[in-house]
Amino acid sequence: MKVILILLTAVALTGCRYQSEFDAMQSLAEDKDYLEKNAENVLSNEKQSVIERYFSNVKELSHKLIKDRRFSRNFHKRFFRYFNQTMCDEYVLDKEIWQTVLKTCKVNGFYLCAEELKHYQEILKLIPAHFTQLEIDNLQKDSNCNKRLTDLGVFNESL
Amino acid sequence: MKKLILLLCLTIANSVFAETNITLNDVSEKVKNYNFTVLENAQRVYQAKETINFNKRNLLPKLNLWNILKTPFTWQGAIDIVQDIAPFLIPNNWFKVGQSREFYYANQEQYRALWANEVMTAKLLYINTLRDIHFLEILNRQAEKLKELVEIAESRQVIGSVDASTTRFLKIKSIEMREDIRALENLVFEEKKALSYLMGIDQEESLVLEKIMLPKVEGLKPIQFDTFVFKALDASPEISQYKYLKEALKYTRKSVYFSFLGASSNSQGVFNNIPVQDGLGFGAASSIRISNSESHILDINKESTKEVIKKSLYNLVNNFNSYVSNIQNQTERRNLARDNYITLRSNLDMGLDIDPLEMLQSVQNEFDATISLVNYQFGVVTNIERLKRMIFNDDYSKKETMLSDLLAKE
Repeated sequence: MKVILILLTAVALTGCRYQSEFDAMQSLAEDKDYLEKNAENVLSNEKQSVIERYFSNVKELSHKLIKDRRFSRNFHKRFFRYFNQTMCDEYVLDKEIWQTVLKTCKVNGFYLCAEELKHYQEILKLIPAHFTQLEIDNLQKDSNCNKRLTDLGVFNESL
Repeated sequence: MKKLILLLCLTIANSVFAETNITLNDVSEKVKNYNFTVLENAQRVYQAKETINFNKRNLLPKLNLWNILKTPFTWQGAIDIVQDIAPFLIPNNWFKVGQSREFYYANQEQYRALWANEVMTAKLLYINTLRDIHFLEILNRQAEKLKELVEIAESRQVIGSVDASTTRFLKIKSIEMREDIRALENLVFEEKKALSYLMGIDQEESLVLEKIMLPKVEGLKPIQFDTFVFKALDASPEISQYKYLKEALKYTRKSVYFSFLGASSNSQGVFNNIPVQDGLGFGAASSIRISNSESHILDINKESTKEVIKKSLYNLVNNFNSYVSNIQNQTERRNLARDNYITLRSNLDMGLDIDPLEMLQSVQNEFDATISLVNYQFGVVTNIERLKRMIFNDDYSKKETMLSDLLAKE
């Protein structure tokens, strides 16, 4: 009985620790789709919200990965279970779309989108240093993913 | 020896009458590095950051000789001084670390708001000073025209075609104009001194402001409130500070729950009004209710801040659109007044009999229309500057706390 109680407590305490990060990943995929479809459309409130959500999630997840050691350990442990080679396709906005979205954010000389959008490339470039070589190799196996991340400057051409 | 004295005099003269040239682009950099209020607030942020380190180090054992001496060397005795020998065993000490981190983030956001306000105040003062210098130039030109008019009236009075009262009236206007120039010169002087103070430049130095390019208002398009409000609310540090304060409040609530494992020896900080018992007692429920109420206060303040931002933004957008749609009227008014003056002036040059009072009226009209147009153009610049502050564009685009933390060079 005691063992079951301890196990239940352990599951309750640890099971949902990264639920918000998991939700953020889910949201990344949906928002990326929206941005790809509406990249060239005129800036609207809805588009502003999606831009803000997508790029804030990118920022917050990167911040977690880089600054939170416990999260980082968990991420590496589960990398091969959750992230296959379609990871780029699912979550990463390519450079061309990003630049198109960025252009629509200027209205009458005013920049009206989330600040994170401007720094998207800079943020992504910080990540590889916190990946293991095995993880990087796995991402590079997929030629589309490799090209997308190389275009964004995440991987060097020579890699 | 003479050379030395001369050199010394030159150095002193140079330091006494030193001139500092500044551009509008220099203002934000100067405010950031030298403004007294910004510098003071930067120190507060530094203190908040150091408090995190203090709370972290407070988890390590500390030496309190008197506590050790008065405690018997037994296991029970060791438990008595657990705050000294193993403070990391007390959860509240860990909560303090987390809470001080949230306070640091909130402090950074407050700093960002203050910094942006100071930059905006300095930039608006720069623009207003330039506008007044521009007014001064127009006023001087106006004074020249009036002086000329007085001379014409005086010469015509000799031949009897103008009354003495008309000449006197024109002289009165001329004297009034000189008084206006004196008052405006004083205002520009005061504005420059205030600008020096905001930018942390020595009062002994004399500022020389570089002119700015006035925007072509005719080329601007009206703006929509809806697209601006999103950015204004999203970028606002006044709003985002509440996110961190609410996170910090959660730690106070946790410290109530875990108070049976001992209270932290550090002070509560911002939430000092929430009582936390040293041990879990019957007061815990009240503590939780007070902290919930504190959370409601934060929500109310956040909502109120949002509405204040929206109110200001509505006014700015309305002003901007009103400037854009009325610029044509202003330009036309100035052109008509100028044409009228030029026609009268050429008639006068051709020797036609022009009433000096009619001429005065024309000079006055042209002056009013020119002043109005210049005021209008500077009004647009001011409005754009306020909008930029509201949405944190250009000089105001200081990175949000987490982004700045992420992109900071390690």
